[in-house]
Amino acid sequence: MSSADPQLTELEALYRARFERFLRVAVAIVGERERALDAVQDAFAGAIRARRGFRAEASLEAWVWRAVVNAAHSVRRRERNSLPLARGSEPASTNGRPAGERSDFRARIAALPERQRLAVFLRYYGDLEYAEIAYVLGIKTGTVSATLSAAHASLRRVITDPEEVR
Amino acid sequence: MEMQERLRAELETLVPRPGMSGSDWSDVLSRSGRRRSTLRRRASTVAIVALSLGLLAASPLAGAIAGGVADFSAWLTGQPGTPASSQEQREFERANSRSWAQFPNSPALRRLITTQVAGASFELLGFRTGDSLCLRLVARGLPGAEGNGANAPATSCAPLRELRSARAPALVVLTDHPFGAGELPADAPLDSYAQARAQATAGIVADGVRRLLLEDQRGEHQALVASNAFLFVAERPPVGTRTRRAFALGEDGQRIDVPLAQAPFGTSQTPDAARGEPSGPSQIERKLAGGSIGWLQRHEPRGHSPEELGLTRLPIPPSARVGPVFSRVLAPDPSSSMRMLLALVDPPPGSAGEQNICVDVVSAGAIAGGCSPARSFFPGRPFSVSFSSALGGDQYVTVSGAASDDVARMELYLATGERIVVPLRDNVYLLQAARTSFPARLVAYDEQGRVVGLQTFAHDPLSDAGPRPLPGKQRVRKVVTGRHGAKAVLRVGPSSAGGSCWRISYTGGADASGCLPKGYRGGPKLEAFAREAGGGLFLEGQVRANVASVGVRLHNGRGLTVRPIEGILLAALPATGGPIVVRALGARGEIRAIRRLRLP
Repeated sequence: MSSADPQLTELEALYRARFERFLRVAVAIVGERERALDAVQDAFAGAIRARRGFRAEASLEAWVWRAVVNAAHSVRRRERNSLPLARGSEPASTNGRPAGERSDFRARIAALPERQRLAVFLRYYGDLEYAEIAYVLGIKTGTVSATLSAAHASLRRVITDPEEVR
Repeated sequence: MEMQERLRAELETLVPRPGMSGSDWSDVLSRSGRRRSTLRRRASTVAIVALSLGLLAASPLAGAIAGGVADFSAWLTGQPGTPASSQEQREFERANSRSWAQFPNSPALRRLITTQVAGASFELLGFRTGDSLCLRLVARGLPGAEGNGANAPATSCAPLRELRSARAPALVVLTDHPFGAGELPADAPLDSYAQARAQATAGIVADGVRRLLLEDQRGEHQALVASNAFLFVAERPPVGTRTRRAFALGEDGQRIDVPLAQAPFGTSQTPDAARGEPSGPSQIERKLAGGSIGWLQRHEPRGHSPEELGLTRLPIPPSARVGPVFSRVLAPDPSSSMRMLLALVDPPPGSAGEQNICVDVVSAGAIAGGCSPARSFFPGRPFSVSFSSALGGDQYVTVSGAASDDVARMELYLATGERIVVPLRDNVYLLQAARTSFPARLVAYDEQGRVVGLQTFAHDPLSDAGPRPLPGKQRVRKVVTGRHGAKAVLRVGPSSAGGSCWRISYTGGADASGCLPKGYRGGPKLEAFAREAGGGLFLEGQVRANVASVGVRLHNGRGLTVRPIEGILLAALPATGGPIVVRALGARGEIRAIRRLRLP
């Protein structure tokens, strides 16, 4: 790795270490792997171009997370009416088990307010701390806690009583 | 806390870990406008390898792979599954005894997986023979497929060395093998393909693999995993459905990519070749002019006569002007069931024709090869080469040919870093190589170890060698949403030949694709048709470079304008039924072509 450009080196290391998490969150937002991959690649490319402007008000990782989420949102906006979850996220069919029905859980996630949904994705798919989620979403850390609690409350109903949303 | 764990479990299923596939830092740099030096690329490659090993080591299964110790011992030394029934064993032995190319030593079948799909029973059997492991998939009771060969068992083999090198904890052996030909309607176009009633993909897995996922155009499918094997049978898949990727999952859910080459289909599929370059020598050390096979010219009776194997009709084309034929069946690799047929074909007495040499691969149920004039049989290099998918189940290519007397030994260098000693005996050679390990280089040495011939194969030989999309470079250029939320996505990117490649993917899995040369200005003035997909109706087509826009007039009087992207048309049609008129317009609105379509 080049030592002449430490930020570029750091971005590359971040990309290689966290690629799967970035892509997973992007897939959850965009709803499709290939375009989500596009979003992640573009976000990192943008981060390289804008790295001189990084002011260390948050960690470099949180800064990149914000770029990835924004890029994924841009992709999604270009394709209106997309369900914000991967279409291929459930096996289309299985020989091993009875084919699953369309998930109620999926519908409930899709019905969450956007901030709650993003907080869930960043927390569970991105493995981000509350402070990092706060930076990415542009809210206070305490608000992250409240947002996740509200999401948990909505999702608890479908997890504990799947009939409720049918 | 319990809520969070349950939530985590639900989310795990909802968006599975996508894996590292697609991770490409050079692509990021390219998008950012930076270029990278060769040195940097090498450093990154090392980093990727190091990181991959680091990530893989995070799970016990992947850790084992990173250490090169994926446990395939059940297949290498053990007995996976249970003994096959005596009836199955007898059927296999009967078929084997009738074969031109018998599996040596009557291998004992093991029953691995049984499942019911499409009203039929599918039984996956396995056996080891020589240096190969083989899977045999037997379908019973598939409606409408009795007696026409479409229900015949599929047997596919892989070299055991693939298990010893352990690139992944699973090995795909059989890919998208069709069972039961469907029926075409009487008015189907001539180039239509009949839908298979079932299509199967199978392979083996190492200890510790709990799940195996296969991805095709329709999404992911979970295969049955048992007895160190996996099997997925798709029921009536759409024509052209091809498995594109495979993932093995251990107990911790970690996904590991399993190398897989897409089975060829028609002319539109362009399976990805493996990246990288083959190692090995790249310079000839001793130049040769021509060459011959002495024992063949002397009619020495090496190997066996074709008649001994029941080969009564030799595959010699009429163009070879058959006169007296001297032919022998040879076994360059005695542990393989495949044989080579080498024939010297003289012209008819008194004719002005010339002597030909024919080389064929003989496998169970098939002979494939060709003939060339003897005087120019070794032009420029001292060996001939051909490829076939005999016994390879689309995952392995059989590399075979003849070598002149100047060649003492041969080696095949693969992009994976492997170096395979080529079985060469009686001037013929034959081996299987994984399609995912190409590009490859075949090298011939003389008695003194000097390189006397080499040939590099830049692509997986069973894939289309024509232009293909550069991996990871296609971008979404247009997304349209039709009725019932059905979508069509147009992606365009550079092709391997310097032009561009496009692909339209529709909801429901249908797709269309093609590549255009750089600066291409030919093609149809206007080609357009309506496609139903996912409940929606779309206009798909192609125009010449001088067409600026396309006007569509619907039967209800409404209209829409479509701007071609790289000459490709894509639009969602709001109405169904009735005729529509499509006009290709130039830059000043002048009409260049008109087509009338009737919507379904």
